[in-house]
Amino acid sequence: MISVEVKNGSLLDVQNLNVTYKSTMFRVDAVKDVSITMNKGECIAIVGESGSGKSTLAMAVMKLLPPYATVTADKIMFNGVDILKVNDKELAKIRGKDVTVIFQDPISYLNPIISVGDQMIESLSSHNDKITKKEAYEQAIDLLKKVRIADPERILKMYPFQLSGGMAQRVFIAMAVSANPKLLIADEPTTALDLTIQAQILKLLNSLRKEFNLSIMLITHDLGLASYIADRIYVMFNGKVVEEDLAEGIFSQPVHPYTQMLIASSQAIYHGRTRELSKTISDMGKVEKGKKACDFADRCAKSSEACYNEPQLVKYDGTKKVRCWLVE
Amino acid sequence: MNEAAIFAEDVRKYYTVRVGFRKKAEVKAVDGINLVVREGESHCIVGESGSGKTTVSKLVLGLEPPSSGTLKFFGEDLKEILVDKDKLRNFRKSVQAVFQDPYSSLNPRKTVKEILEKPFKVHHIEHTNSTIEALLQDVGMTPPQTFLDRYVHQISGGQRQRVCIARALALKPKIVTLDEPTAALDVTIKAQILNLLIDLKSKYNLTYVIISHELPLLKGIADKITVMYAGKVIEQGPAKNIFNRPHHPYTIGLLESIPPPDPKTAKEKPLPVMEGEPPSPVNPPTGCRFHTRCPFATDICRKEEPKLSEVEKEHFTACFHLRNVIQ
Repeated sequence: MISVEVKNGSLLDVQNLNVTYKSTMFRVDAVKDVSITMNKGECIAIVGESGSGKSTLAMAVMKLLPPYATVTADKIMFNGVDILKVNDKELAKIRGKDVTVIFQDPISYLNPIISVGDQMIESLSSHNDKITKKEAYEQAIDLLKKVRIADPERILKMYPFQLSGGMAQRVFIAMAVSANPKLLIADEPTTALDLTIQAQILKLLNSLRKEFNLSIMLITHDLGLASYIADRIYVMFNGKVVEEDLAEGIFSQPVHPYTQMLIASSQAIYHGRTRELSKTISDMGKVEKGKKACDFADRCAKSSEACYNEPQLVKYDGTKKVRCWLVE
Repeated sequence: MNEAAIFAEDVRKYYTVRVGFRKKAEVKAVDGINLVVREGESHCIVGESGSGKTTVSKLVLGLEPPSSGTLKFFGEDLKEILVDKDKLRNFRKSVQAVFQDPYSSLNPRKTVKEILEKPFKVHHIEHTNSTIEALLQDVGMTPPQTFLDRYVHQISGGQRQRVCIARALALKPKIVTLDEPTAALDVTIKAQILNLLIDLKSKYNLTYVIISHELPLLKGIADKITVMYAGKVIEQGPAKNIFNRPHHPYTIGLLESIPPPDPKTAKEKPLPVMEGEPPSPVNPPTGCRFHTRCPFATDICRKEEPKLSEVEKEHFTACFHLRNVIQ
């Protein structure tokens, strides 16, 4: 495991990122005031429930959002490049080469009418003009072996619909690591997979990390995955980071009531002890939404008068930051 | 002894699918399973995709007749129920379903009240506003009045699943099948819905058939567990036994492949990985269907199919190498 304390340079530095989806009908602030840093070789997990803005955040970093999304930030530095200032051409060079993304549903991101082999060859040639088709084919076989596919020649002839979910995710991962990326963004990579296949993919990601000296940004709602793979964890709620710390710190000393609730629920489910969960954990909400300024106040067991004002993300101790009035 | 709520003997369900242009093949979705669900029990069916667990739920709901075998509900054969209009009407009333995705199983153009009135209207049963309110109250949506006139998009995912559960309970059914009832929900909500289901079971005196791929989720709610693999039952027994002393290598692997939500244990104990993928139900392996992925497989597993044998009281496992596996 690569320790965070080893200073081997910052890979990603995002400061005060805001993302707003706008149309004539509605306006949604999906990500509010989020700052994220990643060192080279580090693996972070962004956890949160659906609608917490975790996927939007990851896509915003690489400007992969649709035109109706407005992205503002004080700073998005990736590997020494200012993402806010580069033009589309330069950005295209970074995407797919230095930063790659794997998704929840790999089959729908592969072209259904082109064979796996041709797609891999295409992606390999797109970042290397000098490579011949034959070399690319050889390289594709190599890559598939690296993602533990036993018979790469057969898989290369297949079309995406002929692949199982696990196999498709392996192919996708192979394509993602083909250009030796510095950062791999994994957006719920195992949600659509069976448990035994999920374990295989997790193990694969972990070993690729060492092999390619890869940094991984894992977007997930599953704390089990985050504990397995992440060095640091950001907990998001309603577009904001409510707590960040080393993975161990998040679990051993959760401070924000939402983090506490998340961990208590996952562990209760894992151990089959949901009956012992406190009754105060509720999805029903005690007061109307929108009135209080702390987004979590209406589901929080510890909310008080102070929660009418918005708390800031403040340093708690060494590595931990928390957004809650209880710590101030 | 009372008649079992659900009794299945050697039930099979085959589907015919086209392979290529003219060729047809048979998908053996469920290939000879035995199941006894007693009244008041919650019986969980666990398996990966393609194991046939959803087909079992369709059979239990009487939505599809089995290709062969006997399926009885409280002693009455499903074949007889399906041909008798009155019996069928009664059967539909007493067996209800909750599905995985509360977003697509509720009509977006109807209010919560209209959704919950529907079962009463279909079965011409008297109901008042207070019946509906009591239902909402029972599934923890309080105060109920505030939810009556809301549309589905105006309530959260967890609340939607609560409405689905209320709708299933409206006609006081005897059996409720729950197909991955919490898969689409967030972790904190999952735990809530699970607790709600446990409460409602004793309050309404229900029999549950729960279909799931998430084993740990079932720890708190399951009485009996059936583990399916490629259309076959490979292990069946009391939930406690299955969790504490699983016998089949697949069950053991399945239980171990869940990463614990705790970085300390996760990083100390590497995730044991079961290689390979579940087989295709069109062309399942010969002999024991798990032999392609099993670390204990020998020649006999490739040739013969293991039968379920009783390893402990009411705990059955289908494996030739039980002794080796447990050591």
